[in-house]
Amino acid sequence: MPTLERRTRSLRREGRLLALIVVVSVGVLAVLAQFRFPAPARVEVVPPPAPLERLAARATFEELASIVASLERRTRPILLVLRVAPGNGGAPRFVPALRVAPDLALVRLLPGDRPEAIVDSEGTPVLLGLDALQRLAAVRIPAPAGAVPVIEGAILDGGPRYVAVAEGSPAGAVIRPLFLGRSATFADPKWERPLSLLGATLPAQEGALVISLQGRLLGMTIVEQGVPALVPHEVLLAAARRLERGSPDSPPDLGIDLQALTPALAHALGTTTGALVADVDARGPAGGRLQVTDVIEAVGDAPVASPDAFRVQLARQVRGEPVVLRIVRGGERMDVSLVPPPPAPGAPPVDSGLVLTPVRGEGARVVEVAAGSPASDSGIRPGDLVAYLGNAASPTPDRIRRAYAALAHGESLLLGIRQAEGARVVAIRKP
Amino acid sequence: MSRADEPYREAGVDALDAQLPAAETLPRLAGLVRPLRTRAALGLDAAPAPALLFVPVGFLLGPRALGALSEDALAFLDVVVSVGLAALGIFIGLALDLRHGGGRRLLAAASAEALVTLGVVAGAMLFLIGRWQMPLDVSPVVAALVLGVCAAASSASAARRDSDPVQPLATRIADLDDVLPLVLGAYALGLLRIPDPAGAAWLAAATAAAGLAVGMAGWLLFEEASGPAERGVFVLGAVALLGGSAAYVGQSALFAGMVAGLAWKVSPGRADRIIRGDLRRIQHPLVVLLLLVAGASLAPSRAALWLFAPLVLFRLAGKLLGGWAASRVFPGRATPADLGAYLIPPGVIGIGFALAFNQFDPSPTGAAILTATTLASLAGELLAVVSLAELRRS
Repeated sequence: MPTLERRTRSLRREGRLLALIVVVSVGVLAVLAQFRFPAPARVEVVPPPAPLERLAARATFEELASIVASLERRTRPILLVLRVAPGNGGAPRFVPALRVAPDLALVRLLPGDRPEAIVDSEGTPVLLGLDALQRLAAVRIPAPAGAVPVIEGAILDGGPRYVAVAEGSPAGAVIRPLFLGRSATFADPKWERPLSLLGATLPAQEGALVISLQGRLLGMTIVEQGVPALVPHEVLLAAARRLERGSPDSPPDLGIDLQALTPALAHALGTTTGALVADVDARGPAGGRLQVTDVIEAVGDAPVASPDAFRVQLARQVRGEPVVLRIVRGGERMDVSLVPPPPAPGAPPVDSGLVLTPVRGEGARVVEVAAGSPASDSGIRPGDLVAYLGNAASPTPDRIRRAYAALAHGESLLLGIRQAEGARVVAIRKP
Repeated sequence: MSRADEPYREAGVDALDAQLPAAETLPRLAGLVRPLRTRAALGLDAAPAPALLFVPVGFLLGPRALGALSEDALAFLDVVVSVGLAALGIFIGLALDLRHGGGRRLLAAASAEALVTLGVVAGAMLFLIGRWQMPLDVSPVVAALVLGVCAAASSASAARRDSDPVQPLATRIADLDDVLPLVLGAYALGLLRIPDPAGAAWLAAATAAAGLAVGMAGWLLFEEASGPAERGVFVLGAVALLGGSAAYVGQSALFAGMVAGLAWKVSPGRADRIIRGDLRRIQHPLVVLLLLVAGASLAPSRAALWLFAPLVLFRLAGKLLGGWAASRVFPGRATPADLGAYLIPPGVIGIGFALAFNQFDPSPTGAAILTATTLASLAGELLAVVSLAELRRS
């Protein structure tokens, strides 16, 4: 009997202990569940080599396929594909998008493009902001139910290497390996950081996302200055944060035409760098404030070295507030304050898709025609010379841009162009 | 023979922990000083809690401290780590003895204990990861399962015959409670490579088949060797093949080694004794190497810190509840609390599995899981020293 009592007492004690463990565990679980994991800081480091990487033989196609399969799984939550209706009314495009936050994606869009849907996902994307110069857009997307990993970035080194590239398709994001040869960097005024050259021809869809085989975001493919390039990942993430707040879609029109300084002009005008004012629209904001032969050296505190750099800095100013330009006039430096016009209400402005460079005395040379843009439908090609705007000879790039911006929707711009085959007239219709 | 000695009679001497000194011989915190003995510190002899010494040393040598073990050096050591894990797996397989009823009962008790611990830890971590909205590079299910597998392993010290009667039973259970977690761990690693459940199971089965094939080859070779030198080459070749083949398919070398060890255990002849004798020479250096690499691979991060605290807490709860589950198989032999307390020391298997996971998922999540598991193992060893001291006093 005493043995039975002792055993019963022992069982009771054990039972109480077990119940205590369970109660304490559930209590601790309930307390811990009240916390939320803070958003991890983005670490911009080149990751260490993957285990066994140093000992592995050179990557074979089978191994690459295995790595890509692993990458597809790991990047599935952060790679999206948007179905985009082009501004010119053409067939929809499928463009890859990077989820930079649970409800925010970054995508390369042309002005006028309209994101319609997310492939394989519910909900409608909403365009928050579009940088018409960089052609990057922030898009509000439905947040998924679970947590979303934050992709870390890495810097593309200059040596030959395999990377993975994510492109858009009607079936979703498609990742494939891509071999990059030796690369170099070059600066472009539109971008805050140097771009990496990607060879002579674009090896992937424009706007495709480039990822290292270790799963780090390297950047996005674009064509800049007529050459394929990679926009570094930190520029993309900064653009997403900027565009989420609704940055201006295009630089305001101050009513001036600009041209690049040549050494001879710079010497004659008493400066070394800047953008030369070639024409002033008397009815525009700059009318009576700027003069032909003024050289704009800076917008606010930001120096400008070319007409493109001026437009980039102008686009970054707060709309509706005065812009202070530091200019050189007759060898003297002075500040001129201008008030850009407020943005037009309604739909964002649409550009023609032409990238032009001035040709003195002849007009404007076409450097690039954006795919899917209104200009691409007109038959105009890179290398063409725009000799006439309507019946006005030798138009400058700014004049052509302003003329297109002044069109009402549905109207067309007539350009006289010179191609290798001869002269012809084309119409660029504003959608 | 007393009842306390029955587990030895039923299932043979423990393979992994047999050389560890009995815990009751360590007065209070002496267990912390014990690894500093010369042979143990050099990895040539057994130490009761080697992780407490070698993990911090590894961290000091690693790329985040002195840099003596650089990232490149760690990458080159991956192969050795795989071979070391295969060797540990072989010991686990050799400890399995399913030919006697006693051995099967021990396995049932150990599996019940491991399953409860794994369930408690994996369930809690899955719940918390979801509630915290912690961003991971792998599926939360895989991460929680891996943490559960790492937490389920135990390492109780071997007992002297005249010591606490619970300890021999705890030692045997601790040795066998790695079996079920390693099977589930192989499935988790399979899910990492093939997200489809059937594909993951197929990959785990393929690894088991590879382990079995190496086991059969070894069985045919070991006893036919013309001398100890040739036999040693066969043994090392078999272990290297197990580690290499598992690493090639992205699977756990522990699991492949365990299957091969079991094959040698059940096969006729003396293959099990041959491989046990040969591997014992390199067992401790390999354990030391694994712990040094784990220490050098520690990557303190916010995610690791968040995973660490609940891992320690719920592993402790899981072990105490698991001790209760195991005690049901041997009623009256041990109180659940005592058994649970003996099972708190985590040993090196959990760290080894986390290392294997980090090899195949070198993402920040893999590093966070390895770091959290390693730090939780250190905390577990310290908790064990305190709890066993209390147990002896009571």
